[in-house]
Amino acid sequence: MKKIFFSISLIWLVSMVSAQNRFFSRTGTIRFFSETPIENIQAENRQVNCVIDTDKSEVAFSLLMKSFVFPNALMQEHFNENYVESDKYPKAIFKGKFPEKIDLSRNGSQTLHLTGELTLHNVTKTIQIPANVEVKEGKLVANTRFEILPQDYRIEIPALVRDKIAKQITVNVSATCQPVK
Amino acid sequence: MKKKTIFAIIVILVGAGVAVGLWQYNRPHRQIASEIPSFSLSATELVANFNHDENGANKLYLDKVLSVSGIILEVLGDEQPTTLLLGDDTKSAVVSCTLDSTQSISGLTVGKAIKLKGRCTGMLMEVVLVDCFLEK
Repeated sequence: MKKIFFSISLIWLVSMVSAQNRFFSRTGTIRFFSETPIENIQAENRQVNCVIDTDKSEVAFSLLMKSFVFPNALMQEHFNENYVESDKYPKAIFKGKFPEKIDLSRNGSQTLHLTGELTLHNVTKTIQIPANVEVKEGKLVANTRFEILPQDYRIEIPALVRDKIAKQITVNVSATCQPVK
Repeated sequence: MKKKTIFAIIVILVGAGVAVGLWQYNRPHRQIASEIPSFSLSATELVANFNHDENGANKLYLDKVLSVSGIILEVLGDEQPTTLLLGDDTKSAVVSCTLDSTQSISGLTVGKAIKLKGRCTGMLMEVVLVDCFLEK
C-alpha cells in the first residue's frame, strides 16, 4: 500500500514539475520600424502567439500579417497587397533553440542566444538573434530585437518608393508568457 | 491663346493629380463599427471551418467583418487593448477577439455569452479577430 502511494505521489509530482515547462501567450507584440531621411514607417501587431519550452530550450512565435496596424491606411494596404502579399502568405513564423537553461526557480533576467528559422513571405532563413527573458512571478517576459532585410524574403519594394523604406527593418518582439497547465 | 490654354490644362491636371494623391494618402482606416458583417456564426463553427480547411477558410474570411457569438473563456485585460477569448462549453474552440479602444469591458465576465463583430486576420492557435465591437 505504501509503495503504491509513494509511486502515485512520485508520478504526480513529476507531472506537476514537467507541467511547468511550457509558457504561452496569444497577445505578444511585434513592432517594426523603418527609418529613412524621407519618412519613418512603423507598424504594430498585438496578436502574436509565443511559446517557450524551458525543458527543451525552444521558442517559437507566429503571427498573422493582416494583424499589423499602420498609422496610415494606405501604407497598410500597400504592405499587405504589394509587399508581403498577405492574401497568399497570411502567416510569419519563427522557430528556434537556445543553448542556455532558463532558471525558473527565482525571479530574474537572462540573456538567451536564439538560433532558428524565420519564415516570412514564404521564404525561410536561418537567423541568430539575442533575446532577454525575465522570470517574473511564475511568468516569462520575453523580448528580442533584431534587423531584417526585406530583400532576404523576396519582399519587393518598387523603385518609386525605395528611398522611403530603409534597407534594414528593425523588429521588436515582446511577450508575457503564462505557464500552460 | 493656345499656349495659355494648354498651360492651364496642365496646371489643372497636375493639381487634380496632387489632390487625388493627398486624398489617397490621408484616407482613413476602415470603420469596422459601421460595416455590416459578411458572415454571422458561432465561435465553434468558425474554428471548425478553419480546422477543416484553412486555405478555404482564409479565402472566405480574411479581411472580412465577421459576427461571432460565443462564451467568454478569458478576458486578457492586463494591457491595452483588451482581448477576449471566445469559445464554447468544450473550451477546445478558441477565437481571439481584440476589442476596439472604444469598447467597455464592464460586465464582460468569464462564462458570459456574447456576440461581437470584427475583422478576421486568420488563424494561429486560435482564429483571430481585430477591431472588435460588441453587438447586442
